[in-house]
Order: sequence, then structure tokens, then C-alpha cells
Amino acid sequence: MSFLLWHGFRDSVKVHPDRPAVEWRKESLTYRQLDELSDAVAATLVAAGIGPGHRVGLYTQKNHRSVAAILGISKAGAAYVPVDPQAPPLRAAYILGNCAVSAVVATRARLEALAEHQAELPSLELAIVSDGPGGGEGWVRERGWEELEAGPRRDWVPAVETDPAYLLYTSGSTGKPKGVIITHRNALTFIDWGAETFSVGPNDRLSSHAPLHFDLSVFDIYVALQCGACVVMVPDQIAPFPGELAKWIHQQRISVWYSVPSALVRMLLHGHMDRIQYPHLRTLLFAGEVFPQKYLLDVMRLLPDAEFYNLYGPTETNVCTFYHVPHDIDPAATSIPVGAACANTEVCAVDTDGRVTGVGEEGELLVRGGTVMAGYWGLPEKTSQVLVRNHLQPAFEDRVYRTGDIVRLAEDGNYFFVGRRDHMVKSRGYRIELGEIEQVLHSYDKVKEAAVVPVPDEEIGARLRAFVASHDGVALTADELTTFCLGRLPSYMVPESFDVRGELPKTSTGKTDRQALLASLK
Amino acid sequence: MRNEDLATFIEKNLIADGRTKVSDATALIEEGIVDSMGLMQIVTFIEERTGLRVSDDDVTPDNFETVAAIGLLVDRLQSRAGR
Repeated sequence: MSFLLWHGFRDSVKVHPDRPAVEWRKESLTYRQLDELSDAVAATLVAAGIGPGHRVGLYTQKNHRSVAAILGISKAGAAYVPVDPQAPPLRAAYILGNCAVSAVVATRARLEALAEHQAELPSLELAIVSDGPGGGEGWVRERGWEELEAGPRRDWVPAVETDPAYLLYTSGSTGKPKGVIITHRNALTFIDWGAETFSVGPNDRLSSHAPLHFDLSVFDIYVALQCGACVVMVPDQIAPFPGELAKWIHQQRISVWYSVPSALVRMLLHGHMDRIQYPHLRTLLFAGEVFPQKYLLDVMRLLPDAEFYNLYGPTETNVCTFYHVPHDIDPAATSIPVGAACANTEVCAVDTDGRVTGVGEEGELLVRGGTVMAGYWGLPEKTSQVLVRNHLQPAFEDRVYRTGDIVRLAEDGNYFFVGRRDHMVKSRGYRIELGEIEQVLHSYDKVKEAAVVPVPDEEIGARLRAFVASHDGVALTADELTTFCLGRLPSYMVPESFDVRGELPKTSTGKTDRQALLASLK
Repeated sequence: MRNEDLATFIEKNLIADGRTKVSDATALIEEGIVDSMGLMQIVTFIEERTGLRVSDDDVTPDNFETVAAIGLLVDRLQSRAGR
């Protein structure tokens, strides 16, 4: 019986030991090899006293080894915490320190970068060096990838389904990223639904395009491994080039593709997708942002035999609704729905009085059920603001997640995404709290006022423009602000431009007038 | 556009630690210095600096492997444009 994240993989190993489980560039691991490698990771952690109740970070590039690492961490009973490998060391150290990781799997270069922030990491006991031998200078005990313990086969660990399986850090409006705790049950509810809904089988080859710190990767890796399929990691060296990526999908005979819409739009507009045949590609899943209708129609015309699905859900709920996009979609329609609830999930929209909205009305989407997170790491107050008592269920204690997304219910039972309640925006599928960027800008001593304005963009969702005023008109350059932000924020949160002004325009209530700033760009 | 300008642009706009130096031969893609966003920033930088247009077909791993490779691409684009 499966109740932990890796149990589906364990069962597949028994049935398909010699089938390919994961591929990356020229490397390939069979189910048996991946099992042994992840056992070794687990044994190394267990030998260091790491197990249930511990967290283990990942600060390494995405490849076949990182898949073995996350399985190994799970097998040890710990929760894994993937950090954007491109994140500045300061931010990575904050995240790893915030959830007090006991161990980290990192490349040599990233481990060295973390050393400068070791004061943030008092609980770190062990580092597994993912790209070489261990035994560096020694601020933390090291094990090289080739020096992992030869571990016993692991079929059982003392963990339960309500234990955290992984933590994903998302942008936080108060200036620091917050860790979303996903339990084994949360993840498995989503994985089981995905495996069944898209009929994934041993002959499928699933792409893994999203990075590990982005929850789309959970589908790619665990649905594939649960179903005996192969997960093919998109190499970081190919991902930036739309033309190469478009060819890669063909060459790798990918049958199930899952990504943010902007990745597909880039291949459509800049990758000559129209010159390539995709006979193997049967299912395209997309999530994370709104797919501009005209581009979706273009992609669907290129792939008339493939099935298309729009998946929706904040990190806090995995995926909670989905919509099977018909090929005869009305070309005049302006958008497609986010759909209706997935298995073991319930959704509804409520107005500001808490009344369930009817057809055609707008309201905030609430989600309850197996996929909803346990909470934010170390933030009980923030958690209680979004995981609230379900007032529609008076008979027993029940919690619902307030998404902050405004939706409208259509007659056929599907929901349409309308907008946000707050200052969160999506760019390239990443969710970005403008407040977090503004906090970082405010922390720069020369900055008096700062506002970040999203400019809508068809290809990537939104482009970020910053407006800054300095103290007493002190000279401030875009270059120094870029450098400051790059050292503290992931690159997708660094504004594309900085406009330094004497002061920022205000509304009649004294708030920064964001509309005026946006209008000034036109 | 000189290769040094390009290297400085990459150091200032794409490198988080503010220290790593980029030489002509630094493996930009292989070492993960340039990702999708970085690539687009470099293309925009070249186009704005030179007035040349970088077509989709020019955006390949070979052409953007190193600062030296990008420099050669710019040379080719310039001779193609008859400059």
C-alpha cells in the first residue's frame, strides 16, 4: 500500500527493474539503479542520524542524481527542500536556515558559496557533494557522491502520511520567502490523480522541464516513477534555446509534456515548432499562468492529435482544478477555464460576505481536500490567515485554503480565472510578490521609496519595472540597484528596469500611485 | 561592441555573487551562468548596442557558448549587414 511519496517508485522497481527510470543528457538510470543509488543516499543520511522530523536541502543542478537524491531523502524519512540552483547564496542560505536543514545536497561551487553564510545554518551537519568528491576545507562534514554508503535496501521507514514530504519556498509579501509544507498525503493525492487522469503507463516518456523548486516537477518525476515510465530531464543547457528545446522533444520521443505556457509560447514563436513532427507527443499539460488564447490555438493546430489540459493550483494546493481543452474551442472566446475540481478535492468561490457565489458571479476560490498543504513553515499566523475554518461545514472541524484568486463560475461548472486579490503577479509561471521585491529595494540604504509595477506581456505574463526615489536626492544608478537585487532575489524577480525619480506619485490617500507609474511607461 | 563590454554586461546583470569574473572562454551555458532570461537579456543588449538584429536561427548553444563565440556571431551579423 502506498502512503509515502516514494512508495509508487518502490512498487515500480519490483515490476520494471530494468526499464529506464530517468534520463539526463547521455546518462540513464534503470529502476534498479535508481533504487540502489537512492538507497545509498538514504543510508548516508541515516548513518548521520537524519530521518523523520529532519529536512534536507538541495542546492544543485537538476539531473539524474538530483532525482536519486530526493528519493533517497524520502527513503530516509526526511523532507526535502529544493532551492533554485540559480538563487543567490544569501537567499539559499536563508531558505535552508529558515527550515533548519540537517543536511544539504549541493554542488562543490554552491557549497563553497554557502560557507560564507554558515552562521545562518547552525543545524547543518552533513553535505553531500553532488558533483565530486567530499572532504573540502571542512566547515561542514562532507561526503562525495562516489563515497555514499552502500546502503541496505529500503522498503520501510518510520514515517507516516501526514509527515512533510517536501517544502517549497514561494515569494512572500513581507519580504522573505515562505516554505509551503506538502505532506506525503498532499503529494500522493495529486500524483495518484495525475497518474490515473492522464493514463500514464510504462511506455510513456515524460519531460521534466520545470525546476525542482517548482511544483510542476512533482508531477513529472513521481507520476513517471509510479507508472513505470521514464522521466527525461530537460538539460539546463538546452532549456534556454527554444529551437533546441523544440527539437529535443522530438528527439527524446516525449509523450507527455508539462510546463508553464510561456515555455510553449517561446518554442512556438522562436523555435520553429511548425517545422517539426511530434508523433509521440500525446498529452500536453500546462499550468502556472494564463495561456494566451491565440498562442494556445496555434499550438493546438500544430498538434491536432494531442490532448491538452489546463491545470490550476497554487503551490499550497498542488493542482486543485483542471480543464480538458477541446480542439473545437471557440476561437472568439477570450480565455479558457481553469476547470473543475480534481479527485479528493473540493472547490467553491465565495464573495466578501462568505456567501457561495452563483453562476456568472465573481468570488475568491476556496479549496479543501487531500492536496491542501499542512501550512507555512514556522509561520502559524500567516498559515491561519489562509487556512481558515470551513464555515460551510458546521458539523465538524474542517479547514479550507483561501487562494486569493478571484474566479467566476460558468454554467457548465467550470471556473474561470479573473485576477488576484493582492499584489501577486505571475511571470514565466513564477509567482512573484511585488512586496518582496519592494522590501529588498527598501533595504538598500540609499532608497527612500520603491514600487515595482508589472507590465502585462503576452509572451511571459508580466515584465517587472521598478521605480525608486533616493534619500535627499542621492545619486542612484540602475546598475547598482540591479547588482543589489541580483544578490538577494532569484533572477526572475529582478526588475528589468529601474527608473530613478525625485519622488514617486501618490494617490489621494497617500499611497504610491501604481496606476500613474504604469501609465508613465506608455 | 567589444568582448569586454559583453563580459562586463554579463558580470553586472547575470551573476548573483557580484564577484565571478567572465572571460572570453567562460562556459556561459554549461556552467549555468546564462539561463533563458539571461539569454534574452544578452540578445537585447547586442541588438541595442549594435543596431543589428539577432534572428531566432542565430540563437543556438554554439553561438552563445562563450563570450568569444558571441563576439564571432556579432562579427558575422555585421558582415552580413554589410558593415
